[in-house]
Amino acid sequence: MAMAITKNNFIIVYRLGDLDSTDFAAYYADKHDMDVTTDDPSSNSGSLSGVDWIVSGQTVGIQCSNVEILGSEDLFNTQVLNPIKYALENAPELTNRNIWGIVLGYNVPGGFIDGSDIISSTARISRIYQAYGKKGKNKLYNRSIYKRFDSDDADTALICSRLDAPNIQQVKEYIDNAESLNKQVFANGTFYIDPYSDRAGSLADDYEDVILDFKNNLLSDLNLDIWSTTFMDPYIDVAIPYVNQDSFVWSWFTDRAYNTFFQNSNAIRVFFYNADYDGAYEVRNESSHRWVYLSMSNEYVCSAGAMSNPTIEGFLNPNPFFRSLLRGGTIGESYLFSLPFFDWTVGLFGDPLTYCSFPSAEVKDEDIIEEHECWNKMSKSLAKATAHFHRKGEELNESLLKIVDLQSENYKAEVDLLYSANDLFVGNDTDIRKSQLKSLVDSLFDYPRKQYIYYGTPESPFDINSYLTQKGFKVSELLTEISSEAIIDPSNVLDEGWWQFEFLMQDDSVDFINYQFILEVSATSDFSTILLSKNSYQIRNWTYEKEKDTFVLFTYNGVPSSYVGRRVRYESRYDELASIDDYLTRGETYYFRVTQYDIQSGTEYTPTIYTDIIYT
Amino acid sequence: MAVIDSVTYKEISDLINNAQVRGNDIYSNIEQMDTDLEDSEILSTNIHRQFLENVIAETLGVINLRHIVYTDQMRDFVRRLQIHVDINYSGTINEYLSNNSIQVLPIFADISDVVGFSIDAANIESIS
Repeated sequence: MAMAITKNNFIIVYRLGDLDSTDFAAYYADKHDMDVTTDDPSSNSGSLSGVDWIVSGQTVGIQCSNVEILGSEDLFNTQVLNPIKYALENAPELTNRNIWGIVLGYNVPGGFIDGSDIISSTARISRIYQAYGKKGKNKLYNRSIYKRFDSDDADTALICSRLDAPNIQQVKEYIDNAESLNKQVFANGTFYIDPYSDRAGSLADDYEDVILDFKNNLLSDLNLDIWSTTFMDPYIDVAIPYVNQDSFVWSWFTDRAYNTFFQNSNAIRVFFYNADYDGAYEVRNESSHRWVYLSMSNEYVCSAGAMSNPTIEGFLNPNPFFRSLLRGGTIGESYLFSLPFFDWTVGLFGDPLTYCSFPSAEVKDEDIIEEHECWNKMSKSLAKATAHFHRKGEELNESLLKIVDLQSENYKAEVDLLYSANDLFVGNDTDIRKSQLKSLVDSLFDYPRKQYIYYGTPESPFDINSYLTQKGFKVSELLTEISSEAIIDPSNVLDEGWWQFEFLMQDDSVDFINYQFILEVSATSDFSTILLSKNSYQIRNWTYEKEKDTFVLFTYNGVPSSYVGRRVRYESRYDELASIDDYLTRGETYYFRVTQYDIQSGTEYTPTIYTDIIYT
Repeated sequence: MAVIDSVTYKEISDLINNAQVRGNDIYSNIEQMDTDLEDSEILSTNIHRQFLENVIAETLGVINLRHIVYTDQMRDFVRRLQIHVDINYSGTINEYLSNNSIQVLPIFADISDVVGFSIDAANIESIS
């Protein structure tokens, strides 16, 4: 099992020569019991391009400006990014640790200007080891299959957050609030959600759908009280008037507010997010009325926001955020999974190591197989077993025929071997196959009738054919041959030679990419002769698992890397008019070679080879 | 020559090997049905699930006896094949194999060993 992130994987960055910033780092480290000492100061400090840096345990001081937004990427690199990166790569205190997260502390610059955009320091430092690529897609965003942040993910991006405020006392209060949450653990307040805004256009509609999807499908799993705005008119931004006894807020637009919005609360305030264009422009300014500062100064432990327009597609997604939080993820990693772009304008604020539990919340296990999917899988497994049995009979028959065809002197070999070869074949022929598997095939076919008896009526009882038609399943002819009588309607039987190959999408690239696939089929392991070659760019008959057990057709855009671990399928095609015949021989085992490639660069990754038997 | 020709011997021994290996494939696919039921959302107390599990278990028992262990018919055929070579070739089984550059597959070699004809490692094909 992969190691989950802990405080030992984090460093705290402060402004060297700034007593308050140094005080902050010591305070944060003390609260988390982090290491702040070094045995070898000389090899854990230095100067890079005139900027001094020093490492003591898990604290890193850098001689940077105290300006919140620097004027250029060059300035940011010189004063912030390069010294931290150099320390990570060279200071023995840090090279001996697995650093997966960075807290940018009090008075450390929070971003830099790039044209008309302000790039958030957290979105840039997350990709500290990679070159700057403005608005680069986040490979960890909204992964279809959930897993905790791990060392593989750290190769893609680090968790990064800011702890900054107008004064040192306030930033210490932020740390204290986080400590309270970590002690209390349970979030117990109301979840305020606002899915509606006055924004128009397809991107706005898409984001509204994202929030509604969260509200309708995941929010209830948190088991919190819910307060939601209701839709009134597309031109009216229905807003949350105030919050009271609240633990979470997720809303969009209405981009300015006052302290009166936050009424008294005994509930622990965990995470606040208002999707707008400048909620995080400055967090050191007490009078800006922007959400990040307002929420954190009103006891929210963490918040997120944009320093400049992130575009609507750059807003955080609540689904991966709460899916992660619900499964024990820290706020830092949950945020990273919900952030669409790196090197962009949105940033995280607060203690990234905090996490919370939800009262009596149930987490659905994604590995559990849905009951109908289970029946279909069993049907395929049994058909494969039958296909192997069928092939075994053929092999023993071939063996028998070879003996019959021998022309040895005085028929010595034939006489010696014929009877025993025949006995061996007869013990594995079609009748034996049927007798050994009949009970199981009958039971499998009878299962839906018994299990779903109430689906039928006295006039029209529910049976295996009703079940197959209703679910869109088909079964192998090898099974129907075994069953008691011809109970399966021919329309529910797969054609002989039809096949479907299924494989898991592999994680081949550190960066976010869209994959297409090449599938080659051969009868031999060396692929000296390729019988079929299929490219998913041709789309037809290719599907991928968009959600658990739900397959959708391919598009020319391929499959994004956020679906790594999900299944991809190719289904054989037979089209007499188009002279296409993918069908393969029943009972033969074939080799399937899958090559994933990046549709943008054309880069092909190392192929994976599988074998499978044709069971139809 | 009264003894079976080397090409046919190799072909037959490979077919016997592969037929025996298929027993594992038959077994593992039926076992997979049980695993899927185990991992499914169908309650373990559901009587229809329990009935199916029982039938799977019974079938696995049959498959084990008829396809995993070396059956009497399988052992008998391999024994007769090796005795045929032993009697009709002027040398041992291993000499027949090495003189004809035949390497048999591992499972066939194992059955042969069980019926009293041990095959030298040099005459057994390694499976990568």
